[in-house]
Amino acid sequence: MKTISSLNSLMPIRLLVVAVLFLQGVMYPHTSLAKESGSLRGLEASIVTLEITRQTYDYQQPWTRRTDQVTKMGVVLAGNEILTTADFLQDHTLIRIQKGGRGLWVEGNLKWIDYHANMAVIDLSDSKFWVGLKPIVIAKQTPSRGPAQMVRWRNGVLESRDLSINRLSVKKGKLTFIDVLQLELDTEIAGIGWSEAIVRGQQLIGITSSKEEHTCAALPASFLRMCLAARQEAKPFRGLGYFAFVWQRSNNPATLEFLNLRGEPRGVVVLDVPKNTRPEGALQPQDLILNVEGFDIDTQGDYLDPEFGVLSMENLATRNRWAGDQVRLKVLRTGKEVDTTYQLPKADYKADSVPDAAFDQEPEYLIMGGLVFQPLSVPYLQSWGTDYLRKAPFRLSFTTQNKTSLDRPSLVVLSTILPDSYNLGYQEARWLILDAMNGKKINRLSDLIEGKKAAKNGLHELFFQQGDSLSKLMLDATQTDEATQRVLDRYGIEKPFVFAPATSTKETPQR
Amino acid sequence: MLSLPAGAASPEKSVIQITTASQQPSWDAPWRFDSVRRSSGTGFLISGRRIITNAHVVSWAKQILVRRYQDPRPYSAKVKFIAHDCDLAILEVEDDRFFQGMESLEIGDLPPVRSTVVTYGYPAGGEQISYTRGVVSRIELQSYSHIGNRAYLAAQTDAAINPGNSGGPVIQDDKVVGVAFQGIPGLENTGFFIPTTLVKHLLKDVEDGVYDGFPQVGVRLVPLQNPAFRQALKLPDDDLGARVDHIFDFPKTKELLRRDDVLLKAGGYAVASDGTILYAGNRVFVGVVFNDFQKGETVPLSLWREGKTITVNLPLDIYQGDRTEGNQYDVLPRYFVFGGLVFTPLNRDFMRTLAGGWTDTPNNELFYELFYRKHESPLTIRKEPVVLASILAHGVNANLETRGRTLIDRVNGIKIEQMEDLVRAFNQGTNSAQHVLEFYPDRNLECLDRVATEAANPSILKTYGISKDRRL
Repeated sequence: MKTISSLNSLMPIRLLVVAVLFLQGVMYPHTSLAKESGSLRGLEASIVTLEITRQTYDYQQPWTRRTDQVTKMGVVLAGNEILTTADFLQDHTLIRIQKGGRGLWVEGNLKWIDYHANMAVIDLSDSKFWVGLKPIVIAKQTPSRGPAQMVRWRNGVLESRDLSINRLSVKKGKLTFIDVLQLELDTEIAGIGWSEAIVRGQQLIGITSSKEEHTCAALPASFLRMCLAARQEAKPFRGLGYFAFVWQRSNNPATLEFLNLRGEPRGVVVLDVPKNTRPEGALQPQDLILNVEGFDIDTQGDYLDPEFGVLSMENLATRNRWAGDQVRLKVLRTGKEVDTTYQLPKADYKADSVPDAAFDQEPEYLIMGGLVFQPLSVPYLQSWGTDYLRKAPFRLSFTTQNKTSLDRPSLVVLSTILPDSYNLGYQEARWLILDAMNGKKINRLSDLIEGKKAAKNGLHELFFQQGDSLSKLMLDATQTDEATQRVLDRYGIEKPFVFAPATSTKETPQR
Repeated sequence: MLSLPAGAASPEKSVIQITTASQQPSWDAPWRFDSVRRSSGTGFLISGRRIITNAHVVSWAKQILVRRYQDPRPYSAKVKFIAHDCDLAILEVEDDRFFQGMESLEIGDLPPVRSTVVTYGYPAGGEQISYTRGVVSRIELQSYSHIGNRAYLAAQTDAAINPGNSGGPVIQDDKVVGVAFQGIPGLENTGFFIPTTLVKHLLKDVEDGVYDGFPQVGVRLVPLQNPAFRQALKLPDDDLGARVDHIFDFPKTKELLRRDDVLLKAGGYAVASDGTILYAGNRVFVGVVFNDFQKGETVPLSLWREGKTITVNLPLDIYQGDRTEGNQYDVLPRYFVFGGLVFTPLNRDFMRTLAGGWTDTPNNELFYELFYRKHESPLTIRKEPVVLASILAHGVNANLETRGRTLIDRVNGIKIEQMEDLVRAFNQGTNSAQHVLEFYPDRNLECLDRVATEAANPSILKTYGISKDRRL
């Protein structure tokens, strides 16, 4: 009886305590959180929230657009700048920044971006914004294992969650086709991958870039420091380079013997060197790469990095090396060791005949008498879904698999036909890669303008690449413009064409 | 022997139940056979003591047993002719007793759409003969799934056609108007039968004792409905004529036809601008016309060329160039095993062994090679692309990077155009201590120690139960 009565008497006091704490949490979140998470004290002054609004496009109807929005994180750098991942900044229309996890939003400006590095720097003109903020310390070294914390603003609260570093690896980045150094972390945290800060103590060891199942990838501090320093040293930023050649592991002793290697198994076999990256004699198929930049290469294609341990040799293309740099190689060629160099080509989406991405530009298209032409690109193929290799028309998606065999700088596809009396009879023609128009080869969309001018006898003659479907069609050249305008009016399309700017790289965006 | 019931209606007396025991090879382990499969179908007797059924009922059959209507006794039958392209077969039974009291069915013509037909057969779900009544819903060109890469005239009916009905007669006015053969998964009340035009073609074809098949013209014909294109070709606006868009590698066709010729008439049928003709009251693709012709016969074509109508008599031939793109039957797959590496020709049957979709990334190089290369790069095609189908694990191949399902380009410097090249390349003596294998299109390089591999070959064959290292 006594016990019960004692408990009863205590309950109102406990409830009161909970109520007061709750009230305090609502009214003074910063103060209370700073007190609760002592190890994070100060980090709230170095992490900001970014809200990005951007345009997205439907490549099946490239003249349409919609807006999309995402909230992600940024870290404060010295010099009143904010570092974040480049992800989702493509085609942005508005950047808003918030400090302290709540309160006013301030408009930011994109100052620098590199999609292959997946890094962006943002600044803003309102000098008052920086009051109370302080630059984060980027760790000089990136740990390759052990505990770490993810820090982000969430619902007005600076959230800190434990995660565990799995390893450092070199693999394809989220926005690029090249292999870059990445920090892999084991985590169950939901919604992570949007540039959240990964810290150990008070130091930044990475910013997250993606999450797949239970593994989160982050750009490691070493990579961040390297790119930020290079950005300061060389303007414009030279960009990341990469090894464009194809190599194969050499675990097979018979292959090494065939290549006349003496001694311990080592090296990797060069299979293919794209012609545009093959200076005479620099690197040849069936070369055995033994050493890159002074590092011995094992049969798996790995080297021993003094900072990170065993990594893929692909990392040596971005380890303090930039597009245009010469990388030193030692190869075994017809049984003799040869010292040579390889000039790193710049990672550039447009260098590919079927580009992986087309950022910061409206989708290109051209409508001619209801025939819709578009450049063949991965974003176009992705309009069939992320599983486009299965779902897109095979002959189009397969171009992404054998790019090296394509003999054109880019491809133009007749993507669809907007039915009109002008194009009667061709309603089913689509997904055809163009070869020529009126005798002019069509390598890019703008070639169609010249092709159109070359009409003969009042007719347009279009030829498609040799294949298993329609090879040719003809149209009345005297009626094309009238039909185009009729189609635009009928289908509610503002412009008959959109072409990309001539420049392919973007160092300082102008908006 | 039991006599047939006197009161039975005549068609069912001629309908035959067929049971088979069949066994297919395994295309990714081509020395091996899958387990024996028992299945049943239907057939019917026609003149000359011939039994008509579907090719797919008796393909790969090790044993064929036939039973008469309400007679429990099985008789042994064998395939006299088989036409995989149109999914028909002719069986024969040696035992005279089988035919006692049986009457052959008469073969009729193409039934009109909306007319009533009755299918006879022995479908799953019971032992007795089954009858289902329906109407002919439509008649047009359909893909024949047994071969996989051919389309012929087919009639659609709402009469139930189920597994076991295959090969059974579709009857109208006591005459056979078709042979039940396939359905489309997911479609209800939809079955297809082979019209008698194809059955008659088969019967005429085999009169010389050899089945040749259906000839083709070898052109890609496309609609010609755009006014500008028609004007450019100076064609009248009469909605007639389809354009020759491409000519395939058919010698006579290449000689007599040209690209942009407009086909106005074929075998007496007027060709509409969408490439169709009116065939027995049905609007169907003009290709149906050529299916009425036999190998070596000549089809008269009326063509529009350079503003004038001309007549061309085109000799027709059988095209075998796309054989590997279709399913193949009754011919065991070719293979060669060397150092545990299993090589086999690339064909549709091998593609069917691949996990996942044919166009999945791991398989799409093979898919392209089989179905697209000849269209896009005809000068680069090989007579018989050879694929490294699998690797039988052994010490001599333990460290290969390649995991199989890859096309072989060269062995010891010899370009592999067909299986025989492969054997020759491995057998030829060189100074090299390795066999050097190059794959395509990725140029992967693999080597096998020459002495160790050749020494290991017998034990690899023994370990994996392969009696012969090759079937060529």
